[in-house]
Amino acid sequence: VVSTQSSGSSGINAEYGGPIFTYLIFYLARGPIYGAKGATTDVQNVACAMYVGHYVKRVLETMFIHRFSKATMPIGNLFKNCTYYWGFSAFISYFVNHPLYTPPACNLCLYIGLGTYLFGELGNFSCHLAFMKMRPPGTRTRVIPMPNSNPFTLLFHLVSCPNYTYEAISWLGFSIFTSVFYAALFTVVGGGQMLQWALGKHKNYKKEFEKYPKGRKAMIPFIL
Amino acid sequence: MLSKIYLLLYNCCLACGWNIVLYQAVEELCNSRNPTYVYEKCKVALKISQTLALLEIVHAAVGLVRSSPVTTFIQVQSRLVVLWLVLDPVSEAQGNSNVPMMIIAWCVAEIVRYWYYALSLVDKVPYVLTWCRYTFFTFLYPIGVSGELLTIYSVLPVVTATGMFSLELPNKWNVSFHYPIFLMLYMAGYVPYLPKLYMHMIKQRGKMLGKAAADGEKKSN
Repeated sequence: VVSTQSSGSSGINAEYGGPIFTYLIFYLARGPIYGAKGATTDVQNVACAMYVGHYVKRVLETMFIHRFSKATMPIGNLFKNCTYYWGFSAFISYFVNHPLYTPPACNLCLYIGLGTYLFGELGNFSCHLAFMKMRPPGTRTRVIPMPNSNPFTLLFHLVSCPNYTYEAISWLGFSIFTSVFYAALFTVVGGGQMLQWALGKHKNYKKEFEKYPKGRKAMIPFIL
Repeated sequence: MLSKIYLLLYNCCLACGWNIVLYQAVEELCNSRNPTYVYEKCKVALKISQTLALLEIVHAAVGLVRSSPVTTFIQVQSRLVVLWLVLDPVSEAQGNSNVPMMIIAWCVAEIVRYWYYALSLVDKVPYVLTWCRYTFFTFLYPIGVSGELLTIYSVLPVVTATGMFSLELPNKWNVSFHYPIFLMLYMAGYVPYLPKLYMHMIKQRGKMLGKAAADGEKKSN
């Protein structure tokens, strides 16, 4: 199954590496950009680590974990995807690192946000590892995804694409942590796109495997 | 059958509504010979007629008509943005000469369009109406778009000075919105669409007028 997630290595690194660069511009050059005088706050520092960390993880996964169905991606898609990732990255970073940035009112939100983000990142990584192990190297055999010994993979019982579920959870955590509108918008838009992909993959699984587990949904447990 | 009656009613009502707008606009122009109160006179009928067009998005979405809901949405929202978010909130801009030009272009285009749709439903479109529908756009489109762009441009000073519809930092959601910049980007958005839509209509014209002429010949034979 080919989706726009599959791409050649240089495409991936532009798509996933670019946002790191775009985010860091606003984080590091606050003087020239905003005329800001003071240092960044703890919240802004942790937010930067969360954001950059997510994309570093993605780049590393692309290099060592993902097995792709197609070697290259059409150039039009690459341009569109880069605009999306880099654009949102710039918007989010601009507001998080702004001198007039306002962290969420309650401290609890910060802990809930960070915890949710970490849960999502670990879950997403666990699923990617699980997918890698499901497909023997060099083959294109396809199997019904099943949980392994990692408890995060238990979500496979409930959805076909738990990696997307965990990723949406991760961005939800980031949005709660930072309380930035464009982060929340990115979560919704990205979540919507992933849901669309998940529905496609779920349909393919059901077509391909007669014995595909009945209770499973595409991306949202029990719902869709 | 019921849907046909509904659509017939819808299209006739809208055609009449826009007719009222046109009448009021032209009457005011003839009486006063200046554009100052044209919007004032026709704004109620204009708002009702243009806003009802939202229903067309629903018609397309539920399959009542064979248009793409996305295209319909783009067309309807562009009028509604100019009407409700630009012209109506800024009274200083309502008396400019570009306003009656824009309104009258809208009126003529819509009256032709709705009558064309209504008569298509009962298969009784006279060739002259088809000709109008696929020819008027050649000048109505540039006139209407010019009117819209001039209207948006004319409100920029007021919008900038009053901070209307804009949001500044700091706030709880860490978001800012600069309405003048949004409007300028919106104006720039017209640039790629203009030639595409125009060429699409030119192609449609070739197809539809050729077909209508052939149909007319068939009927007379």
